[in-house]
Amino acid sequence: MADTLDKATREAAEQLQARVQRLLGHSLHIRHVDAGSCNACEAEIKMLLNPYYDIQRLGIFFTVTPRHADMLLVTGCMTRAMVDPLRQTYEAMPDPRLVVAVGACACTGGIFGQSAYTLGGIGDILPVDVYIPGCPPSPLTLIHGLLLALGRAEQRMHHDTRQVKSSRALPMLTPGA
Amino acid sequence: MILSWLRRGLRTGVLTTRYPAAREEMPREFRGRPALDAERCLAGQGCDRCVQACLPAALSLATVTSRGVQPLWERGNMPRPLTTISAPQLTLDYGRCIMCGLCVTACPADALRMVGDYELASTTSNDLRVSAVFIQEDGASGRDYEEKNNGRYA
Repeated sequence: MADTLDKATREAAEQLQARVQRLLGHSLHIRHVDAGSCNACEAEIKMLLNPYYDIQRLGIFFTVTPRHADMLLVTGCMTRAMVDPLRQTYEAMPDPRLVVAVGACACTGGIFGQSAYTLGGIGDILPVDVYIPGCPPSPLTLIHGLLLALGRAEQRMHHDTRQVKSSRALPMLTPGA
Repeated sequence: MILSWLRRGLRTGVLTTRYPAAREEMPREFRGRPALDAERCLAGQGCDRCVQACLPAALSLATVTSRGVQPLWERGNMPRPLTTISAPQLTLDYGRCIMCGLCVTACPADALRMVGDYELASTTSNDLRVSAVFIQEDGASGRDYEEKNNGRYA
């Protein structure tokens, strides 16, 4: 649809979107789903609600039903048993919806990886908007990730492939190899 | 009772963090994330201690190959226009890392250290990967590096 619009209309739409984002992008309701977590991430998520971190000062709230939620917060290594409940939760959410993977397990499978019971990350099941790494991520990392999903924080991590000149290979340093 | 609570609250003041507005000082014990200093890393010389120490296989070694033109001064009389150079590539995936610090203690060259960084979230999983390719100085093909941790990111 965007291709059929002329330039002026598209610019106006972008300005309107930025205005809507600025006016309404300060409130967020989160539905949290445990997809096979060890509960360390849950402990850190719970910390967000204590008087020290207090994410409600940022307009971020937790809700008990996906129908009221704007964001799906997923923890855990994506066990096969939780695939269908997670999909149902996502489908019950109204558009626009954000998906945030919390912890190394939800990002890539973490220490569990892929096995007969876990899929290794929620990326294959849902379109993930923000990855929050850590095992578990600290509450400040969580706040940064939530604000990054809202466009209220900047991303600090960037992909980097460095090419290093290396001198001639020495004999193996590792005794076992 | 209530008055004593009120007095205590007034005396303590506001404890809530001002994080997005002001940077938060992390406690000294906070490990943060491992940072790779590729200049000091010995992976180009056959070291793979951090890869062996890594529990969730966040560190991995792979062999990358690239076909390039051989330098003129090395050609001699017999022109060999295309040569395949293979080099080891060390990848650190923060999406897989559990920030345990075992790689830092395993590193013999202090190329890995923990930095107290907590703004780690990213919008793509690729942004959580940092890698370094170790190319031999004389342009020679590195010896056949054994791939560690399945060479996941080759």
